[in-house]
Amino acid sequence: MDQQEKIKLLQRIVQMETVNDHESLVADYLATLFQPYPNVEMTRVRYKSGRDNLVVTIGTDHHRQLGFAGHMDVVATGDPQKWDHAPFSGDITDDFKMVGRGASDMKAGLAAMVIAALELLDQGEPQHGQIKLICTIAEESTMVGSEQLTKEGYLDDLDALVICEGSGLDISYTHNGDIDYRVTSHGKAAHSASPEMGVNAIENLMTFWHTAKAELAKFDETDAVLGNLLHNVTVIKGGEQINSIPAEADLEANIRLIPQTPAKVVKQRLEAVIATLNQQPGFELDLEYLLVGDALPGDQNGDFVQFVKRETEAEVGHEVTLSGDKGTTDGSKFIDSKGDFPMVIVGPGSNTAHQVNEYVDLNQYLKAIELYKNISLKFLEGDN
Amino acid sequence: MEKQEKIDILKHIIQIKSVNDNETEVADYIASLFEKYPNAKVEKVNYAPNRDNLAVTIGNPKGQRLGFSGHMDVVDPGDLSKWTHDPFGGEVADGKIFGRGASDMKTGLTAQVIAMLEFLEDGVELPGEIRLLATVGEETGEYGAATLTDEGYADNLAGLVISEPSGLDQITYTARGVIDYRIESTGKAAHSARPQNGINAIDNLMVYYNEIQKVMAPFDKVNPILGGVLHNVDLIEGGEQINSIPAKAWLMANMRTIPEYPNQVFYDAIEKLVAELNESPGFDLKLSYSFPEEAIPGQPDAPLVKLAQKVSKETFGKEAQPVGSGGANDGAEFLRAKGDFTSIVYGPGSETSHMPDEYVELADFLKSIDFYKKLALEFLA
Repeated sequence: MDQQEKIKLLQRIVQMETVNDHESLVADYLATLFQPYPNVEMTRVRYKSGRDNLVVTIGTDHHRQLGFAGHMDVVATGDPQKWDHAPFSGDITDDFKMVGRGASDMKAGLAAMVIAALELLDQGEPQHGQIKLICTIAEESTMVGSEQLTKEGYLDDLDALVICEGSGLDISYTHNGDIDYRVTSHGKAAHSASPEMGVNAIENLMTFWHTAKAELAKFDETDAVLGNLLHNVTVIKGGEQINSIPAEADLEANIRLIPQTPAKVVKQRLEAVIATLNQQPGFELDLEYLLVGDALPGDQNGDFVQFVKRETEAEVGHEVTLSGDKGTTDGSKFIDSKGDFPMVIVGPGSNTAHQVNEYVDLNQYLKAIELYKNISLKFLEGDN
Repeated sequence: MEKQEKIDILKHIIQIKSVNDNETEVADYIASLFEKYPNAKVEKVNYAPNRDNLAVTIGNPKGQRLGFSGHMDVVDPGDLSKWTHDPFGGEVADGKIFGRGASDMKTGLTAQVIAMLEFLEDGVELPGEIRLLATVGEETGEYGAATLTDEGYADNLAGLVISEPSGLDQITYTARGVIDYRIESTGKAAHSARPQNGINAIDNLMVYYNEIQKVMAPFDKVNPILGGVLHNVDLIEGGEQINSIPAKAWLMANMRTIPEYPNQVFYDAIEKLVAELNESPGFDLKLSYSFPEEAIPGQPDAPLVKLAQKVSKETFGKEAQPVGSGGANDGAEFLRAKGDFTSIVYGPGSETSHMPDEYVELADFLKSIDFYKKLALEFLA
C-alpha cells in the first residue's frame, strides 16, 4: 500500500462520526478491506444496532497468537467553533499532521494496526501464528465493547496484546482502573418548617459520602508507579426548593484503582457501606455503577514489554519511555479474560486527545504501521 | 353593601393576574373603590415598575391606629391541567369561589377592604384610625412590607391584623423567623485522574456542611410554642462531569429561627465559620442571604389576641385558639416600625393555598368581613 493510500484510509475513518455510537460505520468499512483475503476470519459482535465490535483473525497456524486492540468510538467534539478545522474533516496541515476528533485517540492507532495486517497479508504473512485485530465500541464511555468480547472469550487464546492507543509511540505497561458510581438518596419531602415530617435526602447523602470516604481511605497501599487509590466526588445534586426538605439527592464519584485494589474488592466495600447505612432509620440509598474497569498491572522488565521497547526504539531511532498511565483503556476489561498474557500500550498520537484541534503526526502514524508489522513478525516467529 | 356586590369585588380581585408581579392592578382597583370617599386617604407606595403597595387610612386620627394588612401577589398557578376551574376566573360553585389567591390571600385582603368600605358607606364614626397596608411580593420575600415599613407607613400602629388564611379557628400570634442563605464554593477544575492539580469545590462545600452542624448545635434553646432552631440544607448542586474535579458547587440552607435568638447571632456564626474556612488553603466560599425575616415573639395573652378570640367566638360561634406559625409573614417586617404593637394573623381560607383548585367558602368570606368590623370597633373603642 502506498503512503497516499495509508493516509486516505485514516482520513476516511476520521471522517466517520462515531461519537459514542455508530461504530458499525468503521467496522463495516474495515471488514470490506479484509474481504478479498482468504485465511481471514471476521466476526461481527453486535452490542446493539449500529454498534458492532469487529474481531479479525488472520492466519491459520496456531503456534502463537498476537492481538492488536483499538477502539472505534471517539469522544464528543465540544464546541466545533473552537476548532481550526472541522472536527470530522481529517484535514491535513502543511506540517503533515491530520486534524480531527479521534485522530490521536485513537483512529490512527486503529488504522495502523489494520494496515499492518493488510500489508502482512499482501506479503503472504503470517506464516506462523495468528494475528487478531480487536476493534471495540464504547471505550470512551462504558467499555461495554471490550467487556463483551472478553466475556465471550475472544481474548482467551492470546499470547500477548498491543493496545494501539495514541501514546506518541512511547510505551505504557500499566495503568489505573476506574470505578464511576452514582448514589441516589431517597428521603421524604416536607415543608421546611416541619422537618420532622420528612427525611432530608441531602443529609443522608452527606453521611454516605463521609462514611464512604473514610472506608475507602483504608485502601492505603501505594503502587510504585501509579500511586494511591483516589476517590473523588465530582457531581452532586439534590433538593427541589429552598423551603422543602429534599426528597431526593444524588452524587457521582470517581475511583481510580491501582492493581493492588481490584474493582471487585472495592465494590464490595462500597456496597457494604450502603448496606450498613440502609439499616439505619430513614436511609434509602441506591448504588449504581456507571463504569468499572480494573487497573492494568504490568512489569516494566517483563519480556514482552522489553521486546516492544526494543522494536519501538529501532523504529523511532531514539530511546522511548516506559511508564504507567493515569487513564484507563480497554485493557481494564481484557484482564478479565481466561488467558494470562502481557499487554503493552503503544501507538501513534499526540497529547491532544479529547481536546479541540486533536491531531496525529502522519510520520508517526506511518512509523507505527512499520512497528506493528515488525512486532508481529518477530513475535510470531520467535518465542520472545 | 349587598352580598352580591361583595362577591363581585372578590371575584374581580381574583381575576387580576398578580403572579409575583403586577400588584399595581390590584392596588388601582382597590383605590378606585375608595374614590367616592374623600375622607379616605389613599397612597400608592412604589416598589418596582408595576408593583405598587397601597396604604388606605380612614377614621379619626386622634384615636389609636389599627393596621389591617394583606398581600396582593399570588403564587404561580402551576400545572394548569390540574385545575378544573380557571385559576383566574373567580368561578363560583357549591358556595365556594375558586382561583389562585382565593385562599392565599385575596379573600382576607378583600374582606378587610370591604370592612373599611362599609364603615365609610354607613358613616360610622370610628374612635380611631384603620390603616390598610396592601403589599407586593410577600410570596417571594416580604419586600413590599419592607418598603412600607422603611417609609414609615407602619409607624405608631397600636395593633396589626394580617388577614392571611390562618384558619378561622386559629390566631397566629408568634412566628418563626427565616434565614435562607447560599454558600457558593469555588475550586479549580482538573482531570479526576490528577486531583492534585485541582481543588474539589464539592469537598470544600461538604466541609462547610459538617462544620455548620457543629456551629448550630449550641443554639439549643427551645421555644415552647415554635420549638427549636431549625437548620436544613434543602438544595445542593455541583460539578460538571464525573471525570472532572468540580470547580463549582453551591448549597442553599433554610433556617427557621425562634424569638429566643435575634437573627444576627446566626449571621455572625455563619459568617465566622465562612471566614475561618476561607483561611484554610484552597477554600473559597461565598455567602449570600435572600430576604431573611426575624421571628415574631408575640404574647398569647396580649389584648389584641384576647379580643380576636372573643370576636371570633361571637362571629363564628367557636373561639379561635392562639397558635404559632412555622413560617414568616409580613408582620416580621412591619414589627421593625416605630412603636411597639401586637401583630396577629387571622383570616379566611382553606387548605388549598398554592394548590390547584384553590378556593374559599363564600360564607367564611362574608362572615370574616363582620369579624374585622367588630374587631376594629372594639379595639379602637
